[in-house]
Amino acid sequence: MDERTATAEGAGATGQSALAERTLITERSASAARTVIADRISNVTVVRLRVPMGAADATARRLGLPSALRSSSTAECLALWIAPDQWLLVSERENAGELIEHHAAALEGTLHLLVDVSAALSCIRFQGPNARALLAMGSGLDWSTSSMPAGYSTRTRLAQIPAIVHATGSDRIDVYVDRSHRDYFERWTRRSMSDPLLRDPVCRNTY
Amino acid sequence: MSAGAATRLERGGRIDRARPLDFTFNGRRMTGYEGDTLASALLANGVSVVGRGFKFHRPRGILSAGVEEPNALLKVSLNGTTIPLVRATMQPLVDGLIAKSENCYPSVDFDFARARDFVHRLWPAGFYNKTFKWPSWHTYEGFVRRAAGLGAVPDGDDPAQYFHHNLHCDVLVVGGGPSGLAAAVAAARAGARVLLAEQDRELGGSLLSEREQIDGASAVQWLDAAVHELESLPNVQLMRRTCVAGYYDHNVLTALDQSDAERPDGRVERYWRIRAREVVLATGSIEQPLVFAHNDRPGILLAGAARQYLNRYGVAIGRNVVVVTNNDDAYRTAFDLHDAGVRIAAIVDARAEPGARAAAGARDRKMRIEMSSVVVTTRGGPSVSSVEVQALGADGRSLRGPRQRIDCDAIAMSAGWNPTVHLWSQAGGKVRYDDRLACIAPDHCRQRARIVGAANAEFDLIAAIESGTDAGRDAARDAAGAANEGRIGRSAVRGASVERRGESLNVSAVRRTPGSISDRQWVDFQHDVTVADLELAVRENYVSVEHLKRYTTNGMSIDQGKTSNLNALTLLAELTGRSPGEVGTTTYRPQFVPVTMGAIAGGINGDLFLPPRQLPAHAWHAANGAHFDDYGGWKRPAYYGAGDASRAQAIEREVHVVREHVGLFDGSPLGKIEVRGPDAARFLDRVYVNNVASLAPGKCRYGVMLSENGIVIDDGVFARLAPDHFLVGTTSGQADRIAGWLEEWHQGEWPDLELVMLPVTTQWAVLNLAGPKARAVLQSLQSDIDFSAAAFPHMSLRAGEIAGYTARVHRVSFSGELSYEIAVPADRAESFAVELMRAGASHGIAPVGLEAWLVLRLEKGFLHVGSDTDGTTNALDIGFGAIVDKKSGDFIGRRSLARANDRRTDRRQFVGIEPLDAMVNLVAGSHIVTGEGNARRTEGFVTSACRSPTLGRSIALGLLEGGSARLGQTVTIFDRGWTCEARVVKPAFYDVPGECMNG
Repeated sequence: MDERTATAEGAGATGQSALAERTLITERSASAARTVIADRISNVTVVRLRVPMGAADATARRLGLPSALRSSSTAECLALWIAPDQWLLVSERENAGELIEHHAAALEGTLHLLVDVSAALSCIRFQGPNARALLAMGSGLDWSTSSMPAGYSTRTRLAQIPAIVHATGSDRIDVYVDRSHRDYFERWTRRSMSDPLLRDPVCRNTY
Repeated sequence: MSAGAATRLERGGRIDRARPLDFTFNGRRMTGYEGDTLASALLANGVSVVGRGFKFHRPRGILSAGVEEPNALLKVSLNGTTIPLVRATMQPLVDGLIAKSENCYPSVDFDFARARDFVHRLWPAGFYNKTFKWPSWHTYEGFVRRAAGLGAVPDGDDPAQYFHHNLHCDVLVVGGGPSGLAAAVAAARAGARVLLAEQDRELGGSLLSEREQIDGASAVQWLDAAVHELESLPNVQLMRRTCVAGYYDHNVLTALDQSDAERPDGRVERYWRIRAREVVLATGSIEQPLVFAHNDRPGILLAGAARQYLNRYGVAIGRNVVVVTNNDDAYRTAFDLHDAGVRIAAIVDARAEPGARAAAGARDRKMRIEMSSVVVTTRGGPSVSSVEVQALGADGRSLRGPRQRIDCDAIAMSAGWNPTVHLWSQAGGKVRYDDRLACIAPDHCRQRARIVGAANAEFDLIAAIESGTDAGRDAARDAAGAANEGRIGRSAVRGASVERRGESLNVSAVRRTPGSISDRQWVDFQHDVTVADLELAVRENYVSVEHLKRYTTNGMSIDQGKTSNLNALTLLAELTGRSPGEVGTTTYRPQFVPVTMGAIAGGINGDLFLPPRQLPAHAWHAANGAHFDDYGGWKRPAYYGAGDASRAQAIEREVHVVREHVGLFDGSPLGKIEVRGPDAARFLDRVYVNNVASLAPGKCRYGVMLSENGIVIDDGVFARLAPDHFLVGTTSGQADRIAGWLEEWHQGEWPDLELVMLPVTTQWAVLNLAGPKARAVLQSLQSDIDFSAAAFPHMSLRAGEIAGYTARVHRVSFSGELSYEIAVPADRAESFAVELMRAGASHGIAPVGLEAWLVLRLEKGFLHVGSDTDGTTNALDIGFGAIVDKKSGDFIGRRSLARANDRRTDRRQFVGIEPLDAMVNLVAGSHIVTGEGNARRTEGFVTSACRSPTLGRSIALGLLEGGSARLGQTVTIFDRGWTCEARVVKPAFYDVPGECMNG
């Protein structure tokens, strides 16, 4: 189970070119194998931006960054809101240096920190009709499409660990976890997928 | 096997007679049908005795048909899983099920421990508190504990699978009976996201076993229509065999889902955490038993249960039944049994007259009714064979006239129904005894909950449905309002609706037969509490209901008093001359039903219990023979396997590698926080004891952080990347805490300081090259960094490329050797490690684990915060007095260090320790003691210790009272009765001048 393929739709909601690689992390024999697929997305550039609280709103307006609990796409990257003064800039096309350089130029005159966290975070993409039900096994968030529509982004605790959640569609959610937790989180995912409840194609835990 | 009188009828019930199911009970093969519970199948097979009482081991039969069952607690095995104390009434019958009785030896029909019953007067409530006192309780404890308890934990691992789930909904309806279904339908029609949870495997509640009409249709037709509508709606989720067992603050409820408990491929249980904007509790009611002598005899069932066995499972509880009651509801049982061909020997009614419908029904069927009468006692062996009936005196508290004996083979009894208010109470809702209805009814609640149907003492079916409909509609409306405001909903005091409560049952308050032998009148069947026990408690002044409960243990068993609490509190009222309302009730707490520990754990055990963190180069370490251990949440190499070398040998070898050649150590978990801004230096100056502002770009410095109390909380190396840009290093275990600590001080105390910070700990892997050959290894690699001693001195930082890898290099040392901490992007850690090993091969490089690393720092005498400090160690205690005095500005903890107590010279201070016998091994945690005999006391501790491979002797670090002024003194080390002499020295054993490190 180490199937590497270029992501057909790897750019997620960004509509970017598919340079990232994905690795299926779930077992084909799992109960939920037909209703959820979980892929580890590699080679994604992730940069974390922070500005002082007092400059957050103006920065968001100037750079087209999303407001609370939302994400947005710019020409260069996908931006996820992760705190009132912080965003995650995600790109499957530009490298971290380019992304930092571009945004640093745009932030000229504003105190900021732009740090490459591509190696610090692992992105796991969950797809399928029961993707939300699976993730609801590890978090008390309301994973329904009404509360978490496409474009929703937040930081939370998922399966006991810190995670950034980005809903890219009704049946697709990207989860960013710390690299050091990746092995644990993948094991948690595989175990959770063994719940026979997720075999049901109309599992409505997040209706 | 004791034969009972219950039998399966030719027709009737909701069972599928075309699908027989085989099972065994105590080794005997039996057959039931799809749709049976284990209890109904046992009754249908004529089983009378299913268990034994807790204390007196009296034979016990099935009492109820539901969650309240106190007697039929069986060990059930299925598909390799064994569960103790399963209520047979809640266990669906499945093919191959194996059921066994518990709490009996050698068999349930002949139990040696029954002998206790013959001396029952010696075993009153609280007997062991009074009896087993000399010479001490512990003399008897083992015996008592073996004798106590109801079930046995199965051997071996638990093969069942458990999962956690979370769910949000607008309206949670608990209970799928008529009022719950009505509430769910109304809420769903209003557009709410509805979750309906029902503990039974079928929706319908009482409708499954009643022969009533609703809107001109049969109850079953109404039920089928409601279920069909709910199943067709996309905004509804139905959860069967899911018992909501806990109700917590903010409308968070927990539920045990056993819908997959009988899977052929293994038992699965789920534990749901449900967050609901609104909750409708339609939890029904529980019928209460009457209290008469020998009311625990097999063959005596609750009247509603008898009706349920008849109408739902096609099982008659006997062929000649006496119905004993204080209300009209039990008449329905008599009528249904009669209409099914069962003889009703008599209806014994404590009231002067029944309700009109009950009287008419009995008259039409020509039933014998004994009004104003009660059962005095029962006879049988072990199953009931007759009752003795006597008339009640006019005061209802005495007997009059002669006793009549009525032969029977079963008794259906009812003391009325009590609302199931457990969840309401758990939610913080108040309950009170209602004299008119003779039950405990809900009053008001602060959470967003409503309570409907029988749970709200609305015992009339139509009233319950109307109540449910109103509650469902209102809950949907309020949930929508809360959703529009983007919140769960603020709590407000809500009173339970009282408009539809009625006296439809015409319950009499008479529950107990007066003037009878009280030590044979059972109140709590599961804990063997009798009226005599309550009387004893009252005599000993346990007159508070909470005290009574604890003294007698009434209601403290697995069933939590579902059939005993109401009787106990009304008896307490009677015994103390108060009204039940004045007595009050005990508190209902989670869980409503027993929940397996596995379900609560949710399978989050083993490596999933505490999420372990892996190093970026984990696989590389594993491939190089690392033995991993847990350090501060990280899986780190403790040491590396080297053939047959023991752990100690491997550590010693790795220490020598560093001292003589070069070692590769993975320090990736070291905390890294970037701080940037014009006020970054000022901020860090306030955080560190050490001076920050004077640090030049490209340099780094060791720093200590204190709490407000001056206590050492962390240390590490901070570096200045640029005039306004710092990289703060923390210890591995404190990386997250210090990041939060810095945020707290900036956001909470000094928001005026212009800076931003971000943790970057796991972005970088840190591979540390340490040893005299470290520089040579790095110089052999292509790099734009000049590693010469002059260009790259100790305590400085360089950024550049090494062998094509982007790197930040600190020249710092924790080992006392020439050392470089090389940070590279974490995703390149493994290949960089390979590169370093290849480059170092000719220099004798080897990977070094954390254990050797700690030995190296101990030899050097470097402080390890958390090991060599505790929650009382301040900066002065670790020798930072000069730095504190020299620093001009303020910093966190400074003022605390000015307190007289913090400046005491006899505080425990950081020192080195050398045993006089160099080969004696010291142990961390050993006491440093002074004085002899009773005057002996601890004056410090050994905090770190090892046998130094470099020095060939035992060394240690410790905290010692007045230690810094006692260098050269001899102290006594004490460890578990063993003592040795040791010398106090400076905390530095290896290369004291620092030539190796600085070279």
